[in-house]
Parts: sequence; C-alpha cells; structure tokens
Amino acid sequence: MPYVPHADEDIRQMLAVMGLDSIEQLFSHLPSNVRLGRDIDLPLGLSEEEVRNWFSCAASINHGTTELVSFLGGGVYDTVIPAVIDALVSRSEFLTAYTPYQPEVSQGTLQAIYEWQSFVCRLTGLAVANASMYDGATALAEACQVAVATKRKPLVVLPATLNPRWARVVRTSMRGAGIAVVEVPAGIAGTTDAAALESVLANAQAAAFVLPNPNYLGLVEPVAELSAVAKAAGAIVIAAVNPVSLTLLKSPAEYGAELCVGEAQPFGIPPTWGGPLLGFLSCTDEHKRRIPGRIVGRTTDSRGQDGYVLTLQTREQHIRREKATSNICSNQGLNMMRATIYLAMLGAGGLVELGEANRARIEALRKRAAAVPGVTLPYTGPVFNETVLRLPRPAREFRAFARKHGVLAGIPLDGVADCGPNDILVAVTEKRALYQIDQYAALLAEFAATGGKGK
Amino acid sequence: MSGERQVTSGWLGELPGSLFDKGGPGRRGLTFPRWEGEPAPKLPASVLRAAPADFPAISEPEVMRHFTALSNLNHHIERGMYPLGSCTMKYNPRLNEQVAAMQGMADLHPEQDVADIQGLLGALMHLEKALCEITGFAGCSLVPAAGAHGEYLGMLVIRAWHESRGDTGRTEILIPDSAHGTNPASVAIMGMTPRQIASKADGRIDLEALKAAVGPKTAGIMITNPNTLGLFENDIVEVSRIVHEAGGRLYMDGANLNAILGKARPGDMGFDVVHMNLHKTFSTPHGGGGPGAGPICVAEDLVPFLPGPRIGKAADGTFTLERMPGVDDTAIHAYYGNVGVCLRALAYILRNGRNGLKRVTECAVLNANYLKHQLKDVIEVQHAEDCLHEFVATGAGWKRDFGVRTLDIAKRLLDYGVHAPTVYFPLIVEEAFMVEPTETESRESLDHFVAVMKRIREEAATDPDLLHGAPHHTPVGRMDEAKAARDPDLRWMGPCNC
Repeated sequence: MPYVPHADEDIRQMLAVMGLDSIEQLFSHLPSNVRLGRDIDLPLGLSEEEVRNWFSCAASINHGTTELVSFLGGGVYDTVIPAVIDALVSRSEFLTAYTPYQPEVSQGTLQAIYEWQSFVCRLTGLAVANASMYDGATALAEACQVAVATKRKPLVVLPATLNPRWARVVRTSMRGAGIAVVEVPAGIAGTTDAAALESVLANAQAAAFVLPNPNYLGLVEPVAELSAVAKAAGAIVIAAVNPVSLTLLKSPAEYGAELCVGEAQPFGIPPTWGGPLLGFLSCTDEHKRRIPGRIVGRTTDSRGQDGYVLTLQTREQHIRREKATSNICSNQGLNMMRATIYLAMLGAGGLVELGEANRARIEALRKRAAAVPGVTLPYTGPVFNETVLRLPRPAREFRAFARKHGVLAGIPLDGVADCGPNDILVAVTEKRALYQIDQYAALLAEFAATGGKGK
Repeated sequence: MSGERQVTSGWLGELPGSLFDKGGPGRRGLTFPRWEGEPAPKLPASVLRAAPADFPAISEPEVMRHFTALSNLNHHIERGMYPLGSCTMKYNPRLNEQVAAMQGMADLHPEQDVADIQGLLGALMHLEKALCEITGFAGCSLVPAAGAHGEYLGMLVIRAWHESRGDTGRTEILIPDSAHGTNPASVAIMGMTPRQIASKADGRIDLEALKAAVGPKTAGIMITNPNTLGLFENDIVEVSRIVHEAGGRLYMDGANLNAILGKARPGDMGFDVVHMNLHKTFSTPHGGGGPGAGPICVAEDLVPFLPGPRIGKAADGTFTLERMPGVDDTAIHAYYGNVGVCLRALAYILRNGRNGLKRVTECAVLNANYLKHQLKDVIEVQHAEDCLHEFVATGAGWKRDFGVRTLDIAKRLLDYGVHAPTVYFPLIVEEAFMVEPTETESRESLDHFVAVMKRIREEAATDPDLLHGAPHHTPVGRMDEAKAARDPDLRWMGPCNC
C-alpha cells in the first residue's frame, strides 16, 4: 500500500504484542447492523505513474491562462508569480506543519503570520489584521457580522456595484443570522450615488455600509464622500478592496473605513478555478476583540527572547463555543505564506511600479477600445486595472469570438448594476504585453465590423 | 542529567529577526515585464494615497534566506511524529502536490467557459462520486473550504429542507457535550440554537438524555462518529430512529472518518449529512493552518438543497454546471471552494483505491491500539476497551503523583522531537491527553514515542521541575501568552530600511 509503512509481518508482530491474531478483531465491537459487508465500490489502487498520467490527461483537455491570453478578472487575476514562492512553500516545514498551537516549535509559521498582518496593516492603514480567511467574499460576510455585533442593528447596506458573487455570499450569511440587507443603486457614473445612499440610510438604522473600491465595474468610488455619508448616519464603513490597488489608491484608513476586507489572490496565488484563494480582514484597534480568525501577537518567552503566539483566542470557537464571534477555525495558511513571500519580494521598490504597470496597461486598452467604431466606454471615472466596455453586440458573442483566437475577453456584465447584455468587464494586469492589448483591440474591431462572422 | 543527554531536538540556526528590519535602500526582488506602450495619464490626487505603504526593500537571496530561516523553526511531519488527536496528521504525499500544480489545473480562471474546463469538471465529478461511495450518500458538494465551513453548509441544507416543508419552528440542533467547539459555533452563526446534551462518561450519547431533549423544535443533531474519544457510537441506529421520529435530521462531523473507511458508512448508519476534512482523512497538507477542504455528502432527499452551480453530465458526455432552482440565491464561497485541495484528495483516493483505503483505516486503528497497549503502564487511558484510530489518556495521575500537568508532559515531548498530542480536549476528560498516531507512522516510530514517554515519566518522578520548565531545547521557550493578550503587539511598528 502506497503510504502505509507496515508490511504484513509488521502487522502480525504488532497484533501479537496485543495478544491478537487478526486486525479484524480491532473492529469486532462495531455493531453488525452498520458494518459495510462488502468492499467499497472503487477501483483498486493505481501506481504513482498511473495517477500522474490520469491527471495529465485531465489537465491536457483543459485550456488555462498559460495557454490562452487572459483578460479575466472580477476578483481573481492573472498575475506574475515569482519562482521563490513555490520553492519556499514546498518545504515540508511550511507545507506539512499543523496550526501553530505549540509556539515553541512553530515560530516559523507564527512569525510569517505576524509579518503578513504587518503587510496588510501597512497597505490598508489600519491597526489590526488577522491571519487570513477563506476568500474575499467570506471575509466580507464576517466583517458584516462584526459590524452588526458592534452596532447591534440587524441591517447591512450593500451597493449595486459590489461583486455579485460576494453579495450572494453576504446575503446567505446575513439571512442565516436574521440580518436584513438593503441595496443602494448605482448612479450613471457607475459608482454609488451619495444622495441615494443618504436616502437609504435615512430610512433604516444600518450597522454597516460596504464600500467596494475599485468597485466591480473597475471604477474608483467617491470614497471620501460615501464614507462621510455612511458615518453621519451611524454606519460602520467596510471597505472591500483589490489589495493590488492599494499600491496607489487611498488606503481605507484614509477615508475612515473601520473594517477592510479583500481578495489577496493576486499576491502570488494561482487561480485554480477559484480556490484555494486568500481572504484578508483588517480593522481599527477598537474591533480587534470582535473579529474572527487567528491573530498572532509578539511577546517574550521564558528565556527573555522575542517570539510569537496565537493571541486574543477568547474570541474563538475552541474557547467560546456557541458564543464565539465566528465558527472559523482555520486560515488559508499556505496561501498566506505565498502572499507574504510575494510582498517581501515586491518590496518598496516594486510596490508603486506594480500599481503603475497595471494603470499603464488598462489605460492603453481603454484608449484602443474607445477608438474602435461601435465600442464605447460607458463610464469615464478613474479605474485601476479593470474596465467596462460597451460593445455593439452581446458580450457573450464577443467572448466566444475572442476565445476562438485564444483570448479570454472578459466577464459579461448583464444584470450587474445598470449594465446590459452588451457590457463586458475586462481586466489588464502587469502580465499583459502591449502586443496582446493591440491584439485585443484588433479583435474588438473585427467583431464590431463583422459580428465575429467575418473570418 | 540523563534526560538531557537523550534530547533529539536538532534545531538549526538562530531566530532570524524581522523581515521589516532587513534589506536596504534601492534593493529589488520582484521585477515586471517591460512596458513598451505609453505611460498612463495621472490619476487625480483625490483618489491617491498620501504616501506609499512602508515596505522593506529586499533582494531575492535575502528573501529566500529569511523564509528558509523561518522554516527551520517549525516542527513538521517529516521531522517527527505528530500525534495530535482529532487532527489526523498523516504523511502528505508529494504526488498530490504535483497534480494540483499542473498547467491546465492551477492556471484555470473561475470565469472560464465550461468547454475549457472539461478535464477539471470530470475530475471533480469523479471525486464527488468517490466520496459518495465512501460515505454511502447520494450527492456531494465540494464547495466548503474547511470542516467548519462544511458544518455551516450542512446546517443550511437541513434548514432549507425543513423550510421547504413549511416546518419553520425547528430551531434547535442537539450537540453532545463531547463535541468540538465548531459544532455549536456553526449552529449559532446560522441563527439556530445549539442545545447541549450530556453524554455518558465515554462521550457516547445518553439515549435517555436524547429522548428527553428531542421535540417539535428539533431541527437535527450533530454527532462526531467515532466520537472525540475515538469510540464508535454503538447506539447510532437507535439515535437515528429517535431523532428521525421527532422530525429532525442527523449531521455527522466526519473529523474522524479515518477510523472507518471501508468498514462502515455514515449513510448506512442513519445519518443524512456528513462533512469530511480532506486535510485529515485524505492526506492533503495542513499548511500551517490551511487551506483545507470540508466537502459534504447528503442523502438523496437533501440533494436538491445543495447550492449550485453543480457539476452535471449532458447526454453527449460533456460536463455541465447547473443552477439549482430552489437554492440559487445561496452561496458560501465566491466560487467553487478549494478546488486545488480537492484535486490532491482525488490523487490520494486514486492511488489508494478500495484496497488501500481499507488498509489506511486498519493500520490507523492498529497503530492507535498498539500505542495504547504499550503506554498502559505509562499513562492512564480512558475507556481502554475499544478505541479506534485515537485514544484519550489522562494526566490526572501524573498531576496527583508528581505534581506535573498534562501541559508539562506535552511541552517536554517537544524536547524529544515529538510534537505534543492534543491536550485538554475533549473537555469531559480531566487533564486530557489525546493521541492519534495515524497509519503512516512505522512501528519503530511508535516504539520511539513509547520510550520517550517512559523517559519523561521517570523525569517527572525524579525532577518534576524539568517538566515545569520545558521545553528547554526548542528555538524558544514557553511564551508569555498573558502578556500577548493583555498588551497586544499585532504588527511591526518600526520603519523599514529603505
């Protein structure tokens, strides 16, 4: 058997030590009416080579973002992953370690979590961050729960410009806990209208307003204005950000957000069809005893050395059971390690350059797209690395047309905010070269002229 | 000191210092592809941050050295035994890592068309079917990203089923007091009420207490089987009858599934839902705390309540993603869960096959019973008669005889290169010391653990302070956890060298 050390003779000897002669005796106390009286109906085990071939075959009929040119985003992006990440996280010391409950033999994991928390705080400008969450969407749902528990008002306001996948996760979580959700519509600029927010908040005692930045349409929201409106109405502002944008954009602390969440997949994590990802959660000091998830603190040991431990654990389920702030009892450890290594590699020198690389490419695409007859930019506000294009025909048709040319053109937006069937969400990261953006524009031109039926 | 000569800690290196203190002005790690186009127009100052985040400036070799130095401070499975009860710290095959990292798997974007991901969907459906066969159920959702996440989805499914019948008064979930803390927490975040029921001394369900607790408010019961003491719930069929007759459904916490693969199936015992921890039973790595995966399998009549999109197969053999009409507004993850972890688990299942999985369970149970037998004169075992894959001992005798607590034993084990077992859980056992060796420990490894425990017992008898101060040979000593909580230092405050 592949991963069990025992030979039959080992088993015989171990049984003999216990005065037994058959392994079956160890199961004899299982009630007979629940015993499976047959083998489970699976094939016999395969060799390593056969399993590898099985997966190679499966992978070979997939078409991923290495083979194709990806302009897909919406929360998960095609980004540069330095080789050191795989080299480091494949070390047994990180890969196979358990949760660092024994700090004396877990300082590697603990210090890395502390450094992750430090990076997140520096990006968001907030005082506290946890060790990570399943993904950005679940981090947002948890942040909403924190706000509701703080304000003791069972209502949360979501903008129409929030990622619809995230909104669905938040609504599911709120519904379970009996918390109402109200949506505030988008204005013609594709961002949340401050007056509309004000009137929604005037009619409802909301615990929180979720402020996505950039929003799902790629647009920078009027964060200072919206935040002021929400705070005046007594709601906690929860920023939901693409953390890459924090290389350039105002930090959530600068516009008064008390909680900030996001999806950190772009920091060195392959997309793997949407999981495992890396949610993060950050907050002001006053919320530190209410947020979910693991938190590492620096302290001293019995020998007078600095060291790290899991702390503030009285929030957590293994202590508080049903009174815990959440049922979370894991973090995305290895993905958090990937992101921490990524941010170390990014460093002060790469930080602004990464932001500017995204900016240059998205603006280049916008300029070229807007020059194509029949294609328009429905929203003119500032963007970071994602934009909406309005096409002369349905976005789904363009997507299919571009795919034939090896290009993943974007995400159709029909039904999101005020978007219609001809709107498509396009992401351009630091990985895209100018010739790929030119190719995209050429595909747009051909599609606009011929409906993709020309060739 | 004879004990001191025996320690096998072998730790490398020194504490590496903070990343934020390293590097120097102008140093670079990551660089980006050259841009040959025009520069972007400047963003308005009103949207820009006042100053870039203060990051260290570090070169690639320094980054490698820093994180390698950190790694040297960790215990891990290849370093030594990891007998954490309830955590199933088995060997993590490297084949699993290879298949999940393949081009055509790791580089798939979640918004791609189904035509581009046929191989992936086929693999995931294969895993769903294998998990259903292993657990005796009809439908599977791979979405939950962890065991606790599976509990949450399981509760959503059970509640949706009750609501579909117009039965809205069922708000209570019964939970034995031997349960893991996530069980009541998962129920509470759903807005339902966890109702604790007393278990018997061995953690098994007390049928009289159960009969007294069920009623028109009962939505269901959550049971860990084998339970947190490693004991099979012998009355499970009767428990199932009582709960079902009262109108509730049975949820199984599958944390301990490693004990019954190929021997017994939750679906055959009367359960309606089970979650599995792929990072326990199916060998995917713990990664220092995640990512794991906690898929659930459900009985036939609950399948319509699993949120979509669900993987289907069209008449022409192509795989599809299908919306689930009744629960289309339900989602617990932005996408489809921890797909990369699911692929690792599938590799493990294919590699083992039906014969291998049965052998896994047999040797897990053999190892636990062998260890329990060999430790019988060293530490007192609770309910020794019929444990499966793990057992719970108590340090109460050591406390009484030597003035040494279970925590001290656990910390002294670290000096010998053995990770501590799970201590002080389950809560119903005094000075609990919970050992799960798993099937991937050899007989020699188990014998080493026994020898170390005997040595520590001698130390406790002759020099208890050696244990009180342990560990002595680890990179750091016992941490001041009270200080950490009282005066939290949660991020590096100093400026960087750049």
